[in-house]
Amino acid sequence: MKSQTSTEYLILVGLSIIVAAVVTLVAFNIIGIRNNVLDLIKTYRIKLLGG
Amino acid sequence: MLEEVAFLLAFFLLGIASYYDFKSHEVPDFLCYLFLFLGLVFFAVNLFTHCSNLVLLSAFSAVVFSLAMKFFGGWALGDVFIFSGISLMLPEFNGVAFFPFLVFSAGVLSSAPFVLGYCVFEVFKNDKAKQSFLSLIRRRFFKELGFALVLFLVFLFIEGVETGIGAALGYFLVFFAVSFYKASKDFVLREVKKVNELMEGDIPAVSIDEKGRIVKGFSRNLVVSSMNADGLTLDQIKKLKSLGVSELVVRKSIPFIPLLWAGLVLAGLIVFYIRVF
Repeated sequence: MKSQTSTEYLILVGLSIIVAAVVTLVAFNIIGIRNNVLDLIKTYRIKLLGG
Repeated sequence: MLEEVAFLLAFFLLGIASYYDFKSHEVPDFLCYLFLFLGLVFFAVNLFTHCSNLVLLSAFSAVVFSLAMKFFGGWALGDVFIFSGISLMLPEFNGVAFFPFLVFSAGVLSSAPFVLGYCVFEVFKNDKAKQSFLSLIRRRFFKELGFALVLFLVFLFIEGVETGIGAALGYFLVFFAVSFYKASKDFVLREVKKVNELMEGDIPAVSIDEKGRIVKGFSRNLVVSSMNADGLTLDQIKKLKSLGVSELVVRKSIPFIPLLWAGLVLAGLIVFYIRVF
């Protein structure tokens, strides 16, 4: 089976990963979603994983 | 213990697959099926031993992701089989959920120095590419400078000077990266080939319909689709010749399995680091 990817896609995906990581970090630190995310994880653990 | 066995098996098999992929951009069928088979076996064992919602979600989302990559022309069929197999074998590793995505991201980012180096070298070697890059910068420089200034002011009021400068510089960096990508795309990452020179597996950058016309976007009755990373078949090349198409724009391609292999190693090291520290 063919197993290859075009360099164009690879660059686009790489850039997207970097941009997504930067935006997430910025949102996490600046906009202040840190507490909401931590609350979500806590709720998820309690409700679905049982603690 | 099960995860460690799956990891070592994936590492060993990816090494063999990488060898074939590197040589011919093709992985033997039995190896692709083996990945999927092993994935299903390990996933079944996982289901009966320590299955959680997170394991299910990790495996399911990674398989859907690989199918989406195939659908949008990012991956060839062999990549889909192998990545799905790994996702089912290792949906999480040592408590790190969504491990397949960590493998994928690490693999893609590990290729960045080589791909970037190649693009920079080729863009500045090729006069047309260099001119295109410089003209893109010249044309949009002041407009983008304005946007960067606005960003600076916004973040200056929200956070302070440092964040403002960071945001403006980040925006400018993205502008340079996009301009560079555009110039590379047209002159380095694609090439025009005469139909007689086309090879099996060349990835077309444009779609051609039954009348030999270039088609943009989704369409039925295509002879050649740009959304297919498996590349051209010999039949399609013959059909293009019979339609009288003289040349075709193709995308340059690289084998993906060696990147997945590197990604698996890096992701393993990251998990090891998280566990130890």
